[in-house]
Amino acid sequence: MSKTISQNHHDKVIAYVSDFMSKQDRLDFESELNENNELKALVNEYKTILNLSTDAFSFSPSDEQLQSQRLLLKGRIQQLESEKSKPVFPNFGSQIKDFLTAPQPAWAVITYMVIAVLISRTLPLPSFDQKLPVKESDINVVDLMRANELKNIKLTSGLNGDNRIHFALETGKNYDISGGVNDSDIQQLLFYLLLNDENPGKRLKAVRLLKESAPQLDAQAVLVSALLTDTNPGIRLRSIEILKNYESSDLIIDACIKTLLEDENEAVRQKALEIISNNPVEKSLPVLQIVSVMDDNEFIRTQAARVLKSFKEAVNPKKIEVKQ
Amino acid sequence: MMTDETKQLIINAQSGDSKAFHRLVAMHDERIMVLAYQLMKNEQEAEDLYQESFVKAFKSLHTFRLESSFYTWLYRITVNTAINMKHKLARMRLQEPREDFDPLDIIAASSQDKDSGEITQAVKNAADTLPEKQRTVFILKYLQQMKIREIADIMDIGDGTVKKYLFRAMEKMRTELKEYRYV
Repeated sequence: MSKTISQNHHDKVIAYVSDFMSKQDRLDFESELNENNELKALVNEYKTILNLSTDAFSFSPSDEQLQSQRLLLKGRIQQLESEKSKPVFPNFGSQIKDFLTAPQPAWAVITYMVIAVLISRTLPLPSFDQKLPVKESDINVVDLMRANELKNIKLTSGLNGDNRIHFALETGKNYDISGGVNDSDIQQLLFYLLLNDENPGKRLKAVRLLKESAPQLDAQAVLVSALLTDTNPGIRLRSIEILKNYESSDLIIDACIKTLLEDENEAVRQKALEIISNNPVEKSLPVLQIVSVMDDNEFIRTQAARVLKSFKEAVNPKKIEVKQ
Repeated sequence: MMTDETKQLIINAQSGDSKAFHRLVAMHDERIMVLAYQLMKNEQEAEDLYQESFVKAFKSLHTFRLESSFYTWLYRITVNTAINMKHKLARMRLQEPREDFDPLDIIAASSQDKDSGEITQAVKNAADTLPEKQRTVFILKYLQQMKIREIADIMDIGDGTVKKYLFRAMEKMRTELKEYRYV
């Protein structure tokens, strides 16, 4: 630190550029500033830092980005609301309450207690000598799937400080399998989970892990299938986001067309529209025409009209690739 | 100051009108997205933070009192969610294998000329060296142009502590960016 610039000066400079100073302090400091070039240089230095920071962190989200996030949020909130309104056992609470509040004769209470004791005696005790999982490296995952032997798949990733994916499979025996996201067995299990597991949390985890894997044909088919059939909009959205990174193919374009026309979730439809707009093919034209007029969402209609216009400008039908 | 329209939308949303909630989102989300970008490392993480923050806002909207500022309330949720997300991400990054690190990347990067991209990266790196609270206060004050009182409310700390964090953050940024002081 310079001899003429003290810590106190530093604090004052920061307070000055940060606009913390009272009016009088500010005037005093400015008159000191006029007489001290070193102080002036320090003020400029801090101002430069603030300017550089403002530039480095400047960000202006596009309308498309915001709209896409709003649609995704809408889907999530709809899901939250439908989960909230769906009772696990309809009227179960009120039935119990009715039962408990209804006056019971003494003989009935005694009978219930005797039944409860008898039931508790006949129930098996929990076993504490659980089998340790068998580690098998040579099991055939596909055979187990075909035989419909996979019952309860547990999936973890990034445990033990490694970057591997771990599966615990419950079949006739218990298996532990671990490996990278590009390992064949791991991929097969991720595909299986994504397409078959009833738990949407597991399916979501599977599709997130598949995002890390290298694009390949099998995965493309699975993702298309998840896009077209999964009941959870979050999973459909993740699937189509991954497909966006794949090289365009008839399969993907056809799936996007179907999605754009039929998917109930606006965020998923918008992603489908993005993929279609990046891959001009003739068969998209009538679909865009319909969507630009009929879609429920105004933003999607406008986007579809814009894409349609740009496609038409390129038609010069020669410029549009016609895929059979 | 909240407009009457915002107040009415909040009341409607609190009584279960999800359309009113989405209207509130559309009115406030641009600033939240910018803040999310500044708090996180990239757009993908910013989008995740946006989603998580608004889902939390939806879930806890019934706790919001109309005499407070809706923006401040949203900012508080976003800042707290960002801190939680960063801790989670940090734990995940620690578990990534070291083989991913390629020394050739550094050689390639160091051979490039200093340009605005490099300065931007240097500023971001410098901001990353700040402790979490200093970094957040720095962002709220200098990038979001918030008042000390508002920052204190959002972070649930005193005005004096906010200023202390700002002083430290500025000094640390100056040290980290020495090389670029005459840019």
